[in-house]
Amino acid sequence: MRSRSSFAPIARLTCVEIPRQPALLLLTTTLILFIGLLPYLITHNLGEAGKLVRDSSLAVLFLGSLLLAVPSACNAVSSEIRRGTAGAILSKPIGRIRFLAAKYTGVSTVMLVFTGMASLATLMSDRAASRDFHVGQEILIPLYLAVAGAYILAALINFTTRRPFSSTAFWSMALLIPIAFVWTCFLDGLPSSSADLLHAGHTHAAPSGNAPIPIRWTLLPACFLIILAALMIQALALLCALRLGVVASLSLCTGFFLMGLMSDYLLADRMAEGELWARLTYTLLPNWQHFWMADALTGGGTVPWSYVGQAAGYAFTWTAGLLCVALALFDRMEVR
Amino acid sequence: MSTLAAIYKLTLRSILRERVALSMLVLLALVQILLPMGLKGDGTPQGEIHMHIRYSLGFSIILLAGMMLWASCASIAGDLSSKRLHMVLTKPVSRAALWWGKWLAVTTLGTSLLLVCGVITLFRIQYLVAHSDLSSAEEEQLRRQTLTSRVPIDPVREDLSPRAEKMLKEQRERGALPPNLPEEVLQREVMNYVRLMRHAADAGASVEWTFHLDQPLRQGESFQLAYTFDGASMGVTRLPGTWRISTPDASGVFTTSVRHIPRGEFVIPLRAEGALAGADTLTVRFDNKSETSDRVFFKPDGGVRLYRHGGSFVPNLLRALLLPAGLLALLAAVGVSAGAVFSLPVACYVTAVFLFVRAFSGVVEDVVAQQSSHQAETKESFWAETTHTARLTVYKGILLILDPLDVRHPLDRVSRGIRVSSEEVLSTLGLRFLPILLFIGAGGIVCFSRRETGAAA
Amino acid sequence: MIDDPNAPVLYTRNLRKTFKDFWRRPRARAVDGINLTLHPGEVFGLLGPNGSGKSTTIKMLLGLLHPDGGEIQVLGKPPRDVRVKHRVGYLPEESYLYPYLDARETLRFYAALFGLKGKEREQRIDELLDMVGLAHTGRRRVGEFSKGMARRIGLAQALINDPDLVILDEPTSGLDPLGTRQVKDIVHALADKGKAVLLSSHLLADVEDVCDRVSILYGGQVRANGPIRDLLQVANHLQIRLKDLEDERREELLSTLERLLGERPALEPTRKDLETFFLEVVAQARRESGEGSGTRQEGRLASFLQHPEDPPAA
Repeated sequence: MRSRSSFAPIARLTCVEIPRQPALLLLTTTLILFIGLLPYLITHNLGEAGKLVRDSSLAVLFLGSLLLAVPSACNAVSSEIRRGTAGAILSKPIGRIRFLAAKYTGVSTVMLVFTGMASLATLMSDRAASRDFHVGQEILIPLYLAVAGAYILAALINFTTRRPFSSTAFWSMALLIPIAFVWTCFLDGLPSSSADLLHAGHTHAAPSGNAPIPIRWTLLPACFLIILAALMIQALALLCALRLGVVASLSLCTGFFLMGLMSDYLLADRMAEGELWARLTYTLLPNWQHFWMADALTGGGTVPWSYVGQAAGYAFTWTAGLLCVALALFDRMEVR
Repeated sequence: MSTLAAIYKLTLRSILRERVALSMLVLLALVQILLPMGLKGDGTPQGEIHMHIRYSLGFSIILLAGMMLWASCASIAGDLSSKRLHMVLTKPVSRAALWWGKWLAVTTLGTSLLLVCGVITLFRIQYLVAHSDLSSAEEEQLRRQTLTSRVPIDPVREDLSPRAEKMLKEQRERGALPPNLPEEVLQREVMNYVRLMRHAADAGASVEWTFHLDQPLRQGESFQLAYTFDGASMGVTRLPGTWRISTPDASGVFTTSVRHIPRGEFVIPLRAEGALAGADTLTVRFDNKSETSDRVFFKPDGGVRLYRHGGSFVPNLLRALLLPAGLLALLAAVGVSAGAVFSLPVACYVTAVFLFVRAFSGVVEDVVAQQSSHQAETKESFWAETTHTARLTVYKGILLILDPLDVRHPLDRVSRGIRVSSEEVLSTLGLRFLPILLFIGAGGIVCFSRRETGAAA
Repeated sequence: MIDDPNAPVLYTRNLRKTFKDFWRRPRARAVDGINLTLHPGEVFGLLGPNGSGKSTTIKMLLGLLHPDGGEIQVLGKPPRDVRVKHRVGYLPEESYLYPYLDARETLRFYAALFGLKGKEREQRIDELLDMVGLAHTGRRRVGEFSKGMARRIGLAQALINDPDLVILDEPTSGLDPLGTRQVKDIVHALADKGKAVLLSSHLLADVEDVCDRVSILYGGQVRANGPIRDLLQVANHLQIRLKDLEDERREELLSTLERLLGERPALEPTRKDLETFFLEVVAQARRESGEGSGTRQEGRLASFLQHPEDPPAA
């Protein structure tokens, strides 16, 4: 068997195996439903509901990718090493580099699917909270129905064909949520009762008559930036998973995440003083602020795609560097 | 008992020998060391002490909660998935002994580490006080207001309903009320207004409160008057005023003039001398001496308080730590029970949801309050109203479950020198937490007993 | 000690277990009407191919699984009764041990679960470690043990409470022939002391060596059951053993037999089994060059496991 053909089966197996963990399904469902419920939780906030929902949704997307990346990576790598299945695979004609690259591809695919679903949920949630003191239920109900429908579909498939429930539900959500989103594109999102218009008088910014509520497509670049960040986090999680278990990896990744968020605050003064270690640390630490554009969207701002391209370059370079380190480590590792 | 002890020792040993625990301990140490270096508060010693207690120690508790989440879930679920527990379950060990042994071990570890963090925080505060360049007056103020244990006394709560009803009636007769608002909303809004005005004083006018003390003031006893303006209702100009503290028969009078920008809490130190000594009822009055039309508002809840000395800081801090320790013990119980029922990842998820919802119960409370008012104020379609009611019911259900777990921010109170009483700690731990613990434990043991542990995962 | 030596230690009647899926539909009928009886002093072999229901049966006997039907009694009580477990020892198919404990700590923990304390506990631990050849492992964690060493410590924990019923699932798996021989000796010793031993193994030669009776399962049902000697007897065949003969006398014998039987019988040298040969070679090598690395010469049987009438160990 040519070793070239072994990349896809390993990546595919990883893609298949990761969503079979019930905890992954629970986490995905919770995060997506939480984004979908945000308009109800945050509304009645003196005209700021839309911004709060948008910021919160993007934050859930960001944090959710961290929460998802680590268990996925640990399942894909450290559990396999511990169980001995990695050893069994590596005894076949497949190089370690190819093995790890296939694993990364597999977990990243699952991550992309999750972030894609969560991004669509963010767009719907933001649209539903656009009008002050009004929650666009007609926009959100398709999202809830998509999630419920995925579970029902998975139950039916499990009943008839005995396919695993968790992975079927996950992929069903991946199918139904985009369908729900497309459905809502044909809805105008207007309030359903005159009482909502009455409340509009309580706010600073009254909604503009009966104009349909548009989809805020400017959110897409912001979501895409977070997806890039998620792929970087996934690479970091994979590196940690080579040696560490879930909790240690999560702690380390969280530490990296927090330090990356605060790198400007922590290191700017030291860098201005010309300290080399500060410059080095700043270079190596991922600066997550480059990927957080919620504030840029306030007041109708946009994130240009050229910036997204630059950020993508940064993300891919950093991810590639980290994967090289991971590959170098894995190449020298004793796999029992 | 020996089996329980054996399970306890084994679990404790296993946790400490796992890399998980080591990495969490390292993180905890880093937080204790690094976080205080980064957080300075408002630059005052009080602010820094507040940061140490509220944030450094608070963050440590969050980390501990994370560690205990993992340890408690893995104690049974982890052993089951690795099948180590099968060798134990074939021995004469009851499921109850197994549950309690695991829970005890996790709780012991968590509360011990919490105590260590508390002691480190204490040492840090002592060091801070010893090495700050404070004048003797500033140090005295610090010891009086922060590094102490003050018992708060709230003023007598009046029944403002007659006043509110009268106002509502007058407004209605004048035709000043919005026609479309439901009666409950009108009543609530009027009551809020009446409460606000009860604690307000126009320029040239006064506002008064009455305090009943459990014990009469002793001769020479130090006590404090603390007041907080409702800054949201006021501007930022300095307002002059006079405080007058007296007995009801006005025989003992203490007066002092003040001039404040109405932001933050202010404290006036007092001493029970003359006719104030022996008083068990005090009248406190504020005269608004503003020469412009500035109205003064005090916060309706806790805006004006007396504080009496109630002990020292160190025991107060240790008492306060018992409350989060109790919460951590409950978290451990949830984790062990979840681990007895579910697989490890799902058990972690369930326990994390419990932790998350508990941590954000304040948000749920706000949402319930807002959405209750929204429901009263609007008439929506049947479908919208039904879903709204369903959501509200769920939120209220969550609050009902979480209400016994509310400990009213003990660390925040300690950082402001407010006493956390032994009675409160004992009643919280004994009358609220203990039944919940027993309930969770019983549920976990029953489910574990019925579970087929020999089945493939 | 067993109260009534005539009462069965283990009894099942029409034992059934079906694994169901989430929808409560039958997924696999693991055990389908098994009748077993085991008496004190008996060594009973539970055999069968993979998926025949052996492990499921054993788990039901230990109370780890709930039967769907039938009757089951262990030492006169339901298997989930905690009191029963005082008198049962179990060695699972894989030794699932706490990796961060060393051998002594592991046995100490299991001993504590039986309420053993103080000198008696330490004495038993010493004897068991000596018996299974792990006395020299010191502070080494069991997570670092080889599979064979892990099996040995597993066997030790199964015997720590001097059980009346010992259930051994693949006891010789992962053991070298010396260890295998020793396990078999232990099983014989336990049976001699009046213990009941239930053994499940795929190594049929080992089963044949130690078991008095066997049941062979297939598809969750008993397909054959009875004393080994009777089950293995080949009908209508005899075996004659004699010392070697010179060619002339050999030919004379064959011709005589041919005349009597009407056909010439096959004659071939007696063969010893590989295990016996292996043990002879190793014993010889030991005499010549002493102990190697790895597990050491196992010690004598732990005193608390010996029959009271056994001669004291040399």
